[in-house]
Amino acid sequence: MECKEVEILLVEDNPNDVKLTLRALKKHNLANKVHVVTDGAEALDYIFAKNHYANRKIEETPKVILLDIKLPKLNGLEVLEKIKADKRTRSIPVVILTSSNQETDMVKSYKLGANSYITKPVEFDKFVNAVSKLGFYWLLLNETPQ
Amino acid sequence: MNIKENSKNLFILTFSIIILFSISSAFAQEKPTKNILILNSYHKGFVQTDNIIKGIESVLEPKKNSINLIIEYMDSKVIEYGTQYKEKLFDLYNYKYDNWKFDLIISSDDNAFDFLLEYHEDLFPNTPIVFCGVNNLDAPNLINHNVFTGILEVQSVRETIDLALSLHPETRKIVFIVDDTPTGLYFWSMAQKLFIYYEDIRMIHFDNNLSMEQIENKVRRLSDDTILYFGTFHRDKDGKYYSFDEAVSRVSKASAQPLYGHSVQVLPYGIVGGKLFSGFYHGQVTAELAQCILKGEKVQDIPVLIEPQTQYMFNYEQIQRFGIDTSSLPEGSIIINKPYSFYKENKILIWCVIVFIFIQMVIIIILMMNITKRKKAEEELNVSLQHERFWADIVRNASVGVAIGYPDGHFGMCNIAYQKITGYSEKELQTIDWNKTLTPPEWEESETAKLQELHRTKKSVQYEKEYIRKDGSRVPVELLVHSWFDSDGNVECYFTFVIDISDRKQAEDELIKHREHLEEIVKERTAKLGKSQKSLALLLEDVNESRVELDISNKKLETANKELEAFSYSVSHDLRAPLRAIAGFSQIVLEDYQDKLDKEGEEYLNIIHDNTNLMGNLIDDLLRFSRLGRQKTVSSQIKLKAMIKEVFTEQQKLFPGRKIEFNLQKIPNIHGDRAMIRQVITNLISNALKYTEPRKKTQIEFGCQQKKNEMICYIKDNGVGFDMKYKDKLFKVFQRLHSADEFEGTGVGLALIKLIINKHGGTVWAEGKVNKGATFYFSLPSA
Repeated sequence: MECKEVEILLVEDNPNDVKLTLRALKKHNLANKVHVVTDGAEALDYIFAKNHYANRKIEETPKVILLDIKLPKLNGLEVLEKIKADKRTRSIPVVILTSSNQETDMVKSYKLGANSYITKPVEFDKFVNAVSKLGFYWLLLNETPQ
Repeated sequence: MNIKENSKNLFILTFSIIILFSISSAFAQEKPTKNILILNSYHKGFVQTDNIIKGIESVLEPKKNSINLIIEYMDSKVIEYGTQYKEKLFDLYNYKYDNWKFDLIISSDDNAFDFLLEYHEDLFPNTPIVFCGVNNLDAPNLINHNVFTGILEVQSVRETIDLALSLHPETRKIVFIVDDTPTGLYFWSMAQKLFIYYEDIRMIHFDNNLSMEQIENKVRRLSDDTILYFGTFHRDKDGKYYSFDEAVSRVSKASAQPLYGHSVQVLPYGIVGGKLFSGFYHGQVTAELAQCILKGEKVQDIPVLIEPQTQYMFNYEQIQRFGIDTSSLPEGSIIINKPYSFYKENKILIWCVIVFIFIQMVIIIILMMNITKRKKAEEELNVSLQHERFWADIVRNASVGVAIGYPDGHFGMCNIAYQKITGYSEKELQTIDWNKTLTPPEWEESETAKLQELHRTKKSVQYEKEYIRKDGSRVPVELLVHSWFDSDGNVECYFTFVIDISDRKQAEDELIKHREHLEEIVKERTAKLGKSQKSLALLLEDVNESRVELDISNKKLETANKELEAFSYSVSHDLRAPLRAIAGFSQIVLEDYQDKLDKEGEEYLNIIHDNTNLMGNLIDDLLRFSRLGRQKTVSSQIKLKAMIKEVFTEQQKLFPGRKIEFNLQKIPNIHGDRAMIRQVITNLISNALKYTEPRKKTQIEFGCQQKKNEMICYIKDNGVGFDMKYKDKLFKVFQRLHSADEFEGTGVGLALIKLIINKHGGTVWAEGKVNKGATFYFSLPSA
């Protein structure tokens, strides 16, 4: 498989969860290319190559975006809406990865076009399992139209 | 064993039914009716859906072959086809077709196929299904071929391009008109894969970055070596929606170059033709597959058709327009719009007939009007002749007394009513003086005054007086007197109308009496009403106060509910994050630093790890409990026995290697909230399995009893049981009768059960003995 600049974009403000997610991905050799941003506004800058990330190319989209809902500045649902509203970024798979197991969040996410919705389990093994499963699926099996 | 015996009985029963059936069917004479269900993804009126149905009916001929054809529409273009809607549809069909046995089901388009994939076992077990109109090329890999077969909806894009190139060999460019709706994107990705076959042809894409006007302008300027291909185009740059016919006819009209396409839907609107997908033909092929199955062929012997089921079709008007020779079209082509028109060929004749009919109608109307006029004149003549007699009759028989009197005192004509009032016959009246004989002396003065008024004003006068009747009695009367004057202004005669008013007089007297009495009553009542009004006002004040208080409480309740929701959201999100960190990092320490830890350290970390997991479960249970409290129940029919079986199979997997005897009694269907009742069943079975773990052989029984107004269900186990002293504590939140070492748990399960059953209007209770098993009961009111 061709190796792109960034394969996974992780949007997560809780440093503990960042570490746990990276470790989970690493366990399945998926952590080689992960870029971490810690709030919604930065995530949009990264995806649309603006401000701090102005020298990125917007065409080099991440293969998958792991998106928390509760985020500083812009929340995950707002970020999701912007990604899915733009023709250039619409096809990037977005996986909502959140603590919230509220049904309303799940319904909203799917309505806005999220590709998966995963509740972060408390138990570490389950967490590793969930993260690696979705990583495998969206990164290796799911080829998006170029 | 119970189950074994049951199944033996069942076998004998089934066997005897089969024998009975084969005997009775040998005697049956009529062809049995077949029930076929057509499940459509979209709505009635959607062109493709309607055409497929027409195609199916043209082959199956339901009336002739005694087929009972039921047609269902899922309307999934009208409503979003999602999980919630699927469940509602499931409930609806489950209810509707509970007692039906279909011989075959035909599904049309993707959503119906998808729905049957998911639910066919529950709704229509073992019924053969023929699908059609399915775009998903992966369909043959998804199905159970013992039950499913059908045809894919594949477009003949390549054949259509080949055809166009053969009809226009000079072509060097093909312009594709395709928007980016899902259908458009799908078509374009398919079309692009074909371009390798046409390396010397330039492929151009007009998409919806253009407006319809821009497309029209571009199409007008195309060179002669170009042809057009209409993929699909519903929405342009300005976001304006175009129907198939509008889009195709605008492009076709603007272009001097031929336009091709692959769908029969656009054929009448300006494409030359192509190898076209037609819903009608698709339906016919589908019905042929269905016929094979009805005749007894096995479903798995009928392969899924993945080749395009399309036909060469052309529009005659366009063929003429581009000078295409019909003999160069492929064999068996269908040509529509061939010029046979009765109107076109007989135009003059038709117009002559219309004009002739019109003139005839005008003549008829004029004649009719003439006849009506004459009839009217005749009638008028007759009427005036009859008038005189008519009026004379009316006067004679009128209920009002009428008399003519002359100023000298003698009577002229007197009618019957007047004779009755006075008591004299007409002849007698003509011999007496009306002024002297009939009028009592006390009325003379007032009457004279009235008559003088009449002479003066020459207008009729009205007044009351009394007559002296023939028998001497008095009768009160009201008179209306006119007079005729001669040319000198003297009275010629009086024309008098008389009414007997004795009844009225009597009534007036009585009325006066009543009025006096009434006034007294009114006075009395008014006094009473005053008192009542005062107390009513006080009462109203009270009600208003209560209403204001109620409003305030309602608002408080609403706020409290919202706060509770926000609180549980925050608990759900914020409380779990630190827990996850504790669990995660203690696990990491255990994994990465094991060599640096002694046994005690490892044990402590394990304790931390276990407890965080327990707390995680506690939070989840607590949230579920609080959410359920606020949730509304959505009632539908539930096949309870099937649900119990399913849950038991699921739960059993969590306790591998155990000997379990599960005795499921007869259980009727119930009404309730499916998700909630499932939670109840899950918790009950999981509890039973949990508390019987120490037993060598687990025995669990689930049963129901129908009572007068309710149904009572129970689950009985041979587990560790409980002391009846604590039976009231069992169902309270976080109450546990066992330590966490003995049995795991958070103490929410039974409380949840109680909450759900109470919400359904039922109750829960339990019986048990220490080490002698437990029985949990719940009741549900009958629907």
